Amino acid sequence: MHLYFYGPPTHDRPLLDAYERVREALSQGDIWLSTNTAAKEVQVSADVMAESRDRGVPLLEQMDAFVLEGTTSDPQIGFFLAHAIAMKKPTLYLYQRGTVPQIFTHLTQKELPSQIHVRAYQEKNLERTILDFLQAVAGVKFKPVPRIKFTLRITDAIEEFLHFKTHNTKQTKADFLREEIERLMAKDELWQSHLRKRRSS
Amino acid sequence: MNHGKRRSVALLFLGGTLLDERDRAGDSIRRKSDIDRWMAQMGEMDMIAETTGVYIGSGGPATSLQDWIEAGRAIGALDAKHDGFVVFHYVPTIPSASVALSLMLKKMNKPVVLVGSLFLNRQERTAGLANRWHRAADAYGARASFINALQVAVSDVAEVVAVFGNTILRGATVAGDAETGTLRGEVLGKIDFGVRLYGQQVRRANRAVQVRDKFDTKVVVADIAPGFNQAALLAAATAAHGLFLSAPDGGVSSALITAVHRRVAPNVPIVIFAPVTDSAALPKNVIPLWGMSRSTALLRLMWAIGQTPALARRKTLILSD
Repeated sequence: MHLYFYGPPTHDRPLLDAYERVREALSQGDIWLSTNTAAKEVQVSADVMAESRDRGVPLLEQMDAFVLEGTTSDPQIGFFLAHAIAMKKPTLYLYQRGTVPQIFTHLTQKELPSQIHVRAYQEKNLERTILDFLQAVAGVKFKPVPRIKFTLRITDAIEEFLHFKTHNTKQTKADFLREEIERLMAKDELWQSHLRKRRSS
Repeated sequence: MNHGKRRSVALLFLGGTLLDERDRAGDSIRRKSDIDRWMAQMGEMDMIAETTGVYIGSGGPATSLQDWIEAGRAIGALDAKHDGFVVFHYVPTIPSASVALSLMLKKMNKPVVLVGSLFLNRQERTAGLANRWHRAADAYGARASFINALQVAVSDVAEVVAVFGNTILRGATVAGDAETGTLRGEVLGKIDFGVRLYGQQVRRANRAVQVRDKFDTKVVVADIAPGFNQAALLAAATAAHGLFLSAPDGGVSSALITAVHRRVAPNVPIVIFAPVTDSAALPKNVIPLWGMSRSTALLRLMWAIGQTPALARRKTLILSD
């Protein structure tokens, strides 16, 4: 999983210590952590950089989840939240207990999309808060974003069928076809056997 | 970067707003009454800035110079009230729009950001349009582009720019590549984990923008190719305020230049949009212009003759970056 942690630039020692503990908590498990809090340039994995360089996929879009430290007011937090909401990415918004988080100046608790987790923290429960988020996110299936354009000419009958299946639903015709193909892939014994052989070689 | 004050951005709508290719009610802005519903769908913009929607026109392929003039005037009228502007626009004509706005808006003091959705709407799909522009829609999506544009509109760059995906292009240099379905131009920066600006830009300043929106459209445009009607050109030239002779596949003969030159007043510019090897031999009002798009060259001519009657000043305005 690729995860981006943003902490507003600060000289506040307790906040810098909190950033360090967040990084430590996020360094557990199978997470490639990118953050602005460790070095001047944000580091990303070689895979992410290759996708960006070779196929023009924005770095931010390749992050699977976000962790934002929102104790202090910072316009960049708004930018990441907006992208998290638009891209439906799981996001943990942390703020120090006893402060008023910036996020609630724009959204009420009810208006918060379900994938945005807003949590107050203290030193003693910070690691637990982060681990709880990671466990919740670990249960979320990360669907790879379709990137390969594939043109398919179809008959009137197929178009009518696709319209029938997706009209007045939240699903596009393309999504419907992708899910049907994924279903075929999961049921195809020869294909599954091929994948198993590939993984073990 | 201002870490304290929340910024205010005016969203000017001139097409290019389609959020979803299913094109349901509220997915795009075709008339003023669509604004509220569309903005409710883009509520995440509130995370970045206070936004106010302003309807300029329905946009699309028929977007015209008059629409860009209206947009420029709206920016001038709202300048004191907002910290930045996002102009939503039909993507294939963003190059011309950004050149027109770059010409009109002087003493820039805040960002003016052009952006558009790459999705095809229902009419375009019904018409069988499979325009290559929409290849990039899979990669960028509309929402991510709009959020990026808004983030640039609260940044400190004070120029007309276009945002395409996560790339920021200098407005006066934007060109469209229909073959690859992309916008290109001088790259001012990128938006990845924030707005990163490269090189030199004009920065925010405490001054009022000047809007110089006069374009003179009484220009005769002729494509010089074998078989073109020279007599018709010469007849039209006498009443023209400017001439635009385009010959991308070859040159414009000196005989034709002389014939046209004789028909016009000394302060009427004659732009030759073709490579010219010996410009020193040309009359003063004959101006070779190359190394830019055809629409950029034509807009420069129309704007220059709208600004001043003096040939020397017109020439400077046409030729300067």
